[in-house]
Amino acid sequence: MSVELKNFNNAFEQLTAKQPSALHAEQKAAFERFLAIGLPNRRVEAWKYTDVSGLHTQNFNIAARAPNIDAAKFASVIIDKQATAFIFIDGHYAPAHSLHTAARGVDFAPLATHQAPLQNLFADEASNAAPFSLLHQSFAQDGTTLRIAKDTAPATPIYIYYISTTDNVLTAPHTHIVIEAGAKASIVEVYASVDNITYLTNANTQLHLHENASLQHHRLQQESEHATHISQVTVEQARGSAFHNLQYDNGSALARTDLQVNLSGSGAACYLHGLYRSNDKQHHDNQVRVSHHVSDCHSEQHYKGLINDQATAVLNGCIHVHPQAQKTTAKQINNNLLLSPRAEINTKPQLEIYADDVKCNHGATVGQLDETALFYLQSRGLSHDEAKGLLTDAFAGEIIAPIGIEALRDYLTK
Amino acid sequence: MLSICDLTVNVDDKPILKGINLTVNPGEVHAIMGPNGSGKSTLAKVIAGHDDYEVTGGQIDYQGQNLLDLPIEARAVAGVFLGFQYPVEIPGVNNLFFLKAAFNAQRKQRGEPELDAMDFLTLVKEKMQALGMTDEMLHRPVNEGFSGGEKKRNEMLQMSVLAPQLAVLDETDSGLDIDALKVVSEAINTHRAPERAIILVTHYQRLLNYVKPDFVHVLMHGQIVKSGDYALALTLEEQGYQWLHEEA
Ligand SMILES: Nc1ncnc2c1ncn2[C@@H]1O[C@H](COP(=O)(O)OP(=O)(O)OP(=O)(O)O)[C@@H](O)[C@H]1O
Ligand SMILES: [Mg+2]
Repeated sequence: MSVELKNFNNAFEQLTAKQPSALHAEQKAAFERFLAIGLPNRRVEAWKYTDVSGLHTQNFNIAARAPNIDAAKFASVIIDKQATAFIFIDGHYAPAHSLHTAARGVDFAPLATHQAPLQNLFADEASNAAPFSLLHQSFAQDGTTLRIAKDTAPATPIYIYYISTTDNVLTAPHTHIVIEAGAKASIVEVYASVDNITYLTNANTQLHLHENASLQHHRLQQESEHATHISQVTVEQARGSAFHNLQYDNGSALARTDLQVNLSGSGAACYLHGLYRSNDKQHHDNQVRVSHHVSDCHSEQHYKGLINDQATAVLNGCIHVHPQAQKTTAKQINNNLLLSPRAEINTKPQLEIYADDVKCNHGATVGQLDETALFYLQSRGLSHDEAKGLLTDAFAGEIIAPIGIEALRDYLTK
Repeated sequence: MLSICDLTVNVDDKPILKGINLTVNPGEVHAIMGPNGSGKSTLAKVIAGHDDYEVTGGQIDYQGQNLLDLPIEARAVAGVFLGFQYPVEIPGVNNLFFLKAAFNAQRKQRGEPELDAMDFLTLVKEKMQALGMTDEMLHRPVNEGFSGGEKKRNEMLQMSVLAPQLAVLDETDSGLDIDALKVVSEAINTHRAPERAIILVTHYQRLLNYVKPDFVHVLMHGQIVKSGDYALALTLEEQGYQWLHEEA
């Protein structure tokens, strides 16, 4: 083991000491492999623009259980106080804070108490050799398993909150959601913190949409400004399913999300929207990959970025069309506004098309605020900041306005 | 109200305005005419505070304050309004929302109470009716996809609602059909009041038939080369600007 990973090793020893019996052999094996591989460096293509070497010099602790905390401390991150909410504190399910309205068709269980704990964690990822995937497997203690029963449609959205409350905490929240055939749901995952603490979230979300299922999925990355958030989201779509996703990045010092959508049944469609609002020295990296495995699927990627101060953002959007995926239609758009001379964006479309009957278009723009519009607004009495706010809200509005949950829309526009 | 003294202005180091002198008193309507490229819009934008234009000399006094010291929005709050020759399209910003934000921003700065959504809508609808505008235009993004004439009416709506002390209207009459010209002229005449002043930049004497100016000025080569009353506009309509070249 390299001396640089001592901090992760210390944290893993805490985990082993806590419940040696509960640890799977696979979990230990995953950690061994992580130690052998180490953190990615910038010589690796996929990490060219994102430097995670800062993680070497942080201390990490795991939380043995959810700490006692007054709900008032995290009230500001709760989007809708009346809605079903599964709340995790420092990586552990906190039933006392959660609100489980027993809607028909909603089957929730915290991962730690699940019949076959952590089973699906490895079933899907055993072959995955990516460092943060291994790190996640090593440290996953708890998370969400959620199943929406066949042909049901819960009337209200379901919120899942992963809230960090302790300095240096390392959490690996795992989310496993199945939308059964013909079912329809709206789910919001929120990653947030209390206070300006420093910590690492290494999340993994797996979404399974069965035949003709429909999911509106929203992921809000609102971590503390000193946090590091690294996450993988994997989506499996069966025939005729429809997946709408919003990835919203506003928090963290450094955030990276790898979103992989597999369109594996014909007639499936995905609509992947993203908005990154990057300020100060924040770094937001989104890697989006849609794989068209079969014919007659449709995919859309529309990410927008508002990058200010000395922030940097990265977007790599990939459309992969397999040879048998004829009659694919795919679209990819990325629009960015650089709000300061020192803000930076690296945007790269990646088209890997191996079928011939494919309609595919893509485009990326990088611009600045329209000076003539700013002058026009100011000449009517708005201050420079108000004018700038109006124009950036208008830019973000294209992503936020279509959100189907009013409370969430309001939360993101306030 | 407004006193411009020896104003010189550069754009990209090129002199555009070369010593403008103009005094406008409350209650007066001044028309500024002149050939294309003579500097009329430049003057209008300098009054509004556009910072592409570098003031290299002279002063502008507005109601006892040095106007050139005021930021753009402070000029608006102090009652200066520019009707744009080319109104700007702002996608994604709702016209009504914008108008209300501007109205209340000005009120707030002046320490006046802000209007709530209902009262504001009542005010706007009344002004829109006078301008023959449809409600639908309120709910569209600012000027986006508006026809040339619709954009100019929208400028007039903003003027009517914001009720400025000094309105500088840059070619508000260009691009209007005959009926629209009447409607817009009526809006200007309604706005006209003893405590308010208006500067009309125009190419056409037609507008001045409806809105009778107290003074007509000719701006050429960055200077006001001739001033007169309404009769000057008639002379220009007949003879063009050539004789002024010769006179100068
Ligand atoms: N932002 C700018 N950059 C470069 N040149 C400019 C700019 N603004 C104005 N000018 C130049 O200044 C001169 C005066 O322009 P201005 O728009 O003031 O003329 P105008 O009298 O309003 O003409 P018109 O009757 O055609 O509207 C023109 O030669 C124009 O090209
Ligand atoms: Mg002009």
